[in-house]
Amino acid sequence: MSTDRRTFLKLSAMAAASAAAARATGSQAAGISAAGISEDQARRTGDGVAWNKAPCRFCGTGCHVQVGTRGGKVVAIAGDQQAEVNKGLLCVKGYHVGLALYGEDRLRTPMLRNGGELVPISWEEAIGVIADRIELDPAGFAIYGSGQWTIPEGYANLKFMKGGLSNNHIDPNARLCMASAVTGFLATYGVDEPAGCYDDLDAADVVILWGNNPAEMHPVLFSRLIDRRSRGEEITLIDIGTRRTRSTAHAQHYLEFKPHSDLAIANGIAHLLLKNGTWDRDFVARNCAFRRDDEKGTLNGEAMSFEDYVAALESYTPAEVERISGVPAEKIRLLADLFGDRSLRITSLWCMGANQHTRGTAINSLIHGVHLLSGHFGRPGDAPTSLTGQPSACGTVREVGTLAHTLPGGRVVTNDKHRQYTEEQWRLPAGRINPKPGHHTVAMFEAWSKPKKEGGDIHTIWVQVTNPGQTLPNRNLLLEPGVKDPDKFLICSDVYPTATTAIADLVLPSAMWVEKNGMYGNSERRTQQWFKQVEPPGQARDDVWQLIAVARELYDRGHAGMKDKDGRFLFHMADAQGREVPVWRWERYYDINVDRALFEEYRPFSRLKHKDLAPYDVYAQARGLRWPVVEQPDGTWRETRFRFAAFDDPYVAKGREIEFYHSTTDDGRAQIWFRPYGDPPEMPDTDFPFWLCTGRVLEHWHSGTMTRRIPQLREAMPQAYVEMNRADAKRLGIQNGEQVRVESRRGAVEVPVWLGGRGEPPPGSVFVPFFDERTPINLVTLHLFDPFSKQPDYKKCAVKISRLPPSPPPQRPTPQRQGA
Amino acid sequence: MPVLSAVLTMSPDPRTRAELLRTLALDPRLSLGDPVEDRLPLVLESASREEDRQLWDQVAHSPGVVHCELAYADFSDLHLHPIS
Ligand code: SF4
Repeated sequence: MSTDRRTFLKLSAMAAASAAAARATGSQAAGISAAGISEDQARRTGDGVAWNKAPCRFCGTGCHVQVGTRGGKVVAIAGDQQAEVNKGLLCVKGYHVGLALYGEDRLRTPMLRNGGELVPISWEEAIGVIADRIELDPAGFAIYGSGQWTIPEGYANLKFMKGGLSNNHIDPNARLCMASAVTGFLATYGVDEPAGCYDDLDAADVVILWGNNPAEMHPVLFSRLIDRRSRGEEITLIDIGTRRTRSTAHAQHYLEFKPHSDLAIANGIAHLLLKNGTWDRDFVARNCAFRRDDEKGTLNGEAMSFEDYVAALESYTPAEVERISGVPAEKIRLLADLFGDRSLRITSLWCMGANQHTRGTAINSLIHGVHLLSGHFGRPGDAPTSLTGQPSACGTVREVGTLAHTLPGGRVVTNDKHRQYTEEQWRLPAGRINPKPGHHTVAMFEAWSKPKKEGGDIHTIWVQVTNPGQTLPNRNLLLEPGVKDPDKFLICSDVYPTATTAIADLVLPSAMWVEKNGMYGNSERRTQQWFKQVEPPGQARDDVWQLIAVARELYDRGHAGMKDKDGRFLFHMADAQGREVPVWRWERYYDINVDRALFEEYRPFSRLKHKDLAPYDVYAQARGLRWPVVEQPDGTWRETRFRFAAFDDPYVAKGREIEFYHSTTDDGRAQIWFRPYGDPPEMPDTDFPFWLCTGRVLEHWHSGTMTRRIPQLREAMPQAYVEMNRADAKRLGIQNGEQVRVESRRGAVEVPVWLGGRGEPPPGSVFVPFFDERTPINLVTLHLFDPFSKQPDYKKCAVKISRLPPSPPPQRPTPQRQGA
Repeated sequence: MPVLSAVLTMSPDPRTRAELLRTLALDPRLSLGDPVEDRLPLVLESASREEDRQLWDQVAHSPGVVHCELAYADFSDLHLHPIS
């Protein structure tokens, strides 16, 4: 590298860091470009790097990066100075987002399994194979997608399945990570997604983490709190968890609870608010009603009187909650005192801990309930806010509606009017959309893994942008039988070989991130857009193209579902002159902006639930906008930071401070739920005496498909491990680093023990991360799920830990598909 | 030869902060910018990916560093796998 260039890079790097430091502290940073580089410097050196915006590919925080490209490659990454979310900063994964494109084993060609081996085939053959599988029995075909699907990808898949095949067997991996948050919001407010936003973290006096570890999982978000505190602001951080984590290290109070007993803690807070008379009478009288489960087990339950609510909570005294949860009574009183103080601003954060829970809907609604009962709602800093793990779990799964029972914009297949509206928007003949919900994730894979003659009605699943081979719970039940059944077929579109491509019959190479156009929606209702900046490798192609090519193949074969009521192709797209563009041909795919066309088609759906979206071109100029985004008289578009609050939300009726305008009771009220604590379905016993919790680590993103290809991240966290408490290890004679067997009633893995590592589980419990495909902990986990959200519980099941003989047997290999 | 820049959030304790600045200034691979309140911009230069990782860890775990975030990374000199 020449001295000039190196000097330039150093100058650029320093400019970016100085600007970010200034931005983060609210100081001025003059003369800095979007990438943090002084435009003078860039001109002087003629560096030749082109900079463009994109959201980070990884977590649901939704940081914006500036992507530097030169010679057709991504060569640099900078935090985006113009982005409100991250103010020019990125976590260690954000830096590596550019390198994630360049693992040497990127998939580059379609491959079909033949005699047990994956053999390269052409795209034409691959598209033909998928069409054949659909034609075999369209009702037995399923799509398993992702919270990493872009908004247009999710929308196109939904339209293809529900509008084209009249088949509702489409569900995303987000079912496994945030479905209980959705049902919690729906049951409480009648509409999904948080009312608050990240700005709450800048205003809160108290932040409560409910089974959440943002220091590792949402690090840039967490840094807002750390930064405020290091500037001398007083913020009380309370960590309610089942193991000590990096977030605990920053908390003033750590409340360690027995797994599953978070329900008792929430009920204990409500009990004390009522007993102490510190609940917010006025807020509740104007804005809330009370609710409990009904006998039919419906999501909306039944109304209950305030008196019944008080009586139901009677037994949740601090002493009783201590008995159930193990949290000392004085800590329950501390929480109740904080919630009872209206001069404070309190923000609750949660993610997988509350969601991956067989009572996930219940604990989600109880957290909302504590905020509503205490009136800690609707002011900046007063908010119950769930976070998402994936970059577009909100934008794609929850808003577009790629779940088995949903239609775009918060509609459901069971509602006649919703189906009718959707059919009209899609120009379909009346009655095309099937009114019966499809299989949710666990049911979909159960149906795939069960022989047809035993009722296994799914013969083919097309997996896109996700890795169920590693992330489904209880893999021995949900995957292995299907892998061995010759009638079953698995298609997988991905960017790298994974535990899923290893068992797939057809593997399709996909473009990723800035190799294609895209849109995401992050955890704070922020819709983000980016343009393609580099070419994908080899024959890798956009996921939307793959889908449209299959749809067109079916259309050409005469499949009626691929035509609208006028006989036009389901994905008819035209140029500015109105001429049809054959976007199903790869060489013509980028003749128009297909993302733009799909997004503009989807946009009107967003208004029913007041989640209004702006035109595509507005997002192209912005660093994301939080919906509802409403056009102003001067033609500009205004985003909304605080929903349901009159001072910011344009949809609150005049004269009201707060209005829950999608109330399930049609009276503008939110529901405060009573939901009792009950034991979890599996608990430690003499045979399996430990609780197992699974989760993520800072360095690796979910199943590690991308981050394990990046040497620095791989070296920093090379393999999975089991965290144990030192006292348990000592009692069992286990040394730090020793290989042990973690075994449940469903399966086992062998991993080394890490004592005093990242986290510190209490006696009687262990933690294993799921990023390492060589030691798939989901052979061990439980597939039981929440009755409303159908989200499985990855956070607790019973296991035993055994020492291995001196020469341990070889690791169980990832199963390979036999034959084709 | 990766070049990255980071923003460190420094401890509010003046003595710890002064000691941190003194220690970081001794490492020739680091260039320190002007602190903005509790935030310190700095550039990390290393000879290889391995050193880059090790240097990042060393900086992030230095006494007095409360938090460490990335602002810029250039990896144009790394061997990236061909795109076709
Ligand atoms: S916090 Fe999440 S979105 Fe932000 S840089 Fe890190 S991984 Fe990317």
